[in-house]
Amino acid sequence: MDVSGICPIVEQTNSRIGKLKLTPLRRASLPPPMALHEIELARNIKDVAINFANTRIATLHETTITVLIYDVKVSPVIDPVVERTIALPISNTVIARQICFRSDVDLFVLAMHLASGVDMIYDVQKSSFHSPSATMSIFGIFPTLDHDALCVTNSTAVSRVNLLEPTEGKQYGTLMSKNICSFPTSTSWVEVLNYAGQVSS
Amino acid sequence: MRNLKYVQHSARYLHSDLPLVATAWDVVTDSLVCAFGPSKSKEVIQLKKTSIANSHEESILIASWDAKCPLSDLELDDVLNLHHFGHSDTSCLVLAGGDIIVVRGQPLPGEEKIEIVGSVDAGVTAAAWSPDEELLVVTTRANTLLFMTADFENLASTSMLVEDAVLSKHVNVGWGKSETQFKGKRSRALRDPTIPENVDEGTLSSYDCKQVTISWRGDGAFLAVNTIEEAARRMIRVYSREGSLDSVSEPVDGLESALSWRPSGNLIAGLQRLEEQVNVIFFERNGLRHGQFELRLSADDQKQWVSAIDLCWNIDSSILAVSLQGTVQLWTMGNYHYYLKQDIRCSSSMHNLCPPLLAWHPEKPLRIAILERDTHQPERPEDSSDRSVANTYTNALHSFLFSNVVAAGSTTAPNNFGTIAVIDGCEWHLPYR
Repeated sequence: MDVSGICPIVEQTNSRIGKLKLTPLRRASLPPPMALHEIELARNIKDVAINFANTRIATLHETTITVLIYDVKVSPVIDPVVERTIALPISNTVIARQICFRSDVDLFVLAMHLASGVDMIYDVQKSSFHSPSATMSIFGIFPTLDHDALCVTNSTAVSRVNLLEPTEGKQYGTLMSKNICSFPTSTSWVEVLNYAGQVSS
Repeated sequence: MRNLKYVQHSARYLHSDLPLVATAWDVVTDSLVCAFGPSKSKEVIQLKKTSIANSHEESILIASWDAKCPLSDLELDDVLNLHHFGHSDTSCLVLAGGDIIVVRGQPLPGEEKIEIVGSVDAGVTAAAWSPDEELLVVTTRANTLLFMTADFENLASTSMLVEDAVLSKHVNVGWGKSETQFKGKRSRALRDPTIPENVDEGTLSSYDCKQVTISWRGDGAFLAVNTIEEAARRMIRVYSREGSLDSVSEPVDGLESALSWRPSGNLIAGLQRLEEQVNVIFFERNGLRHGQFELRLSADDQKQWVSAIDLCWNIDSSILAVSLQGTVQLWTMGNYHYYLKQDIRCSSSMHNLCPPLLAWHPEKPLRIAILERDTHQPERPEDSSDRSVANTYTNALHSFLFSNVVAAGSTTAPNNFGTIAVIDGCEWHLPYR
């Protein structure tokens, strides 16, 4: 047994299904716990994200992502349908915890490398991991309000990030972050929008 | 409509040569105090402090001492309660053999580091500190309840008697006598509506671990004690802070030892295990049932995985953590419906015979520490000179911070349809296999 590594949280193979309840509140008013659409997915759901055009939903499970087609612009709104399942190349050494969309198709996953405790972002489209250049713990990843850029928060600040390709010989790409704003205390929810050419939150 | 999002996760191993038995948060230094031992091969108890913020820091050994059980009919002593007082850096342990031990992190001159401050001769079955840390309540093997101050002076003592059951407010009789009721065809429509269809007698669950549990209400005014009466039924007694019996629960078939009083005070959560399902049931302070939800486990899961279940509310009463063998489930309530928000699965490669240890942070409502215990039983070396077989227990410590947020679609026109996604994990129940 590797002493420095951590025993992972392993996905079970017995039948456990995660249920997702979806309601476009502008189209249908349904009080919780009822929902307009309920879909049962293969595994326990850890996090969920909706794309900019409100046409796709991505759910994060232990080692996979399920992308659903859920278009609320058509009338009547039809049941969500599983479009594809993406297997994440995370082995026992990495644990994924959050997922978000940027624009309509770009998916990003926030994961942690267990042994070192380093938070990383995985770009699903390009299948590449990115770790920050300086030690930084990431509390959340989310897009700006117009889904133009990706932002991260840690306990007291929010920054916009750029993900650079991994250079020759390196396993991970770099995550360049540019601080937008710092807060005096930790925040649980931040939105970033472009206002008159400047970003504010 | 909110989901629990994983904001922060740190994980590390805790190696020791003794089994992990109890844990408590130290809010001042943001670390966990863990108690290890005793085991058959080494009758020693160790107390270690592990930092959560710095996962690369080694655990610090606070104290270690021999712990031979003073009672002859108990094979091994057991740590029933561990509580850490952050402001004075003192830990208090209550052992099954009856000893109450105080371990001081920084003893003043004249004070000892490890001190046995008291002893209950009869032996202890459960102990719990009040939320304000002023009172310690201990149940003994002689079926008595002792109230002590923070300086371990006796305040009150009551006996838990079988006759207490008459205080129960449940109704099991109707207006008429059963001999005069019509029992022919179509009697269902004509039956006396004041007689309940079936009344639970309180038969014990076959998986009952026979433990006593105590849970305080969040304001410290009342406490609930769950015991087995005469090996026949489980009863939850509610006592006031002064030691007077307030009420007794109604009989419930399959009631188990898990007990957690919601800090906001309106519900006492317990567990009911029936043949075909496992329910989390709620009682009010007067002992009557008030709602329940099903744990949604498959039949196989029930037999294989769930031989011991623990319940624990978080400090602001928003999340109920259910600790089963191999997994911790987090349930939240919305509009009287319970959602399974997160299901944290533990490693299957560990020889897990007991549920993970849970510790909600006493001040931050969305912070939890989960310890997967390694419970393999190492063989006692036949030849005492052979020390090459090392008994190592490897426990995994996971600390999570959540945020309770809404997963919503875009809020800018023209895409603002207000789409909300709500997670409600569902175990598939397969009654026909």
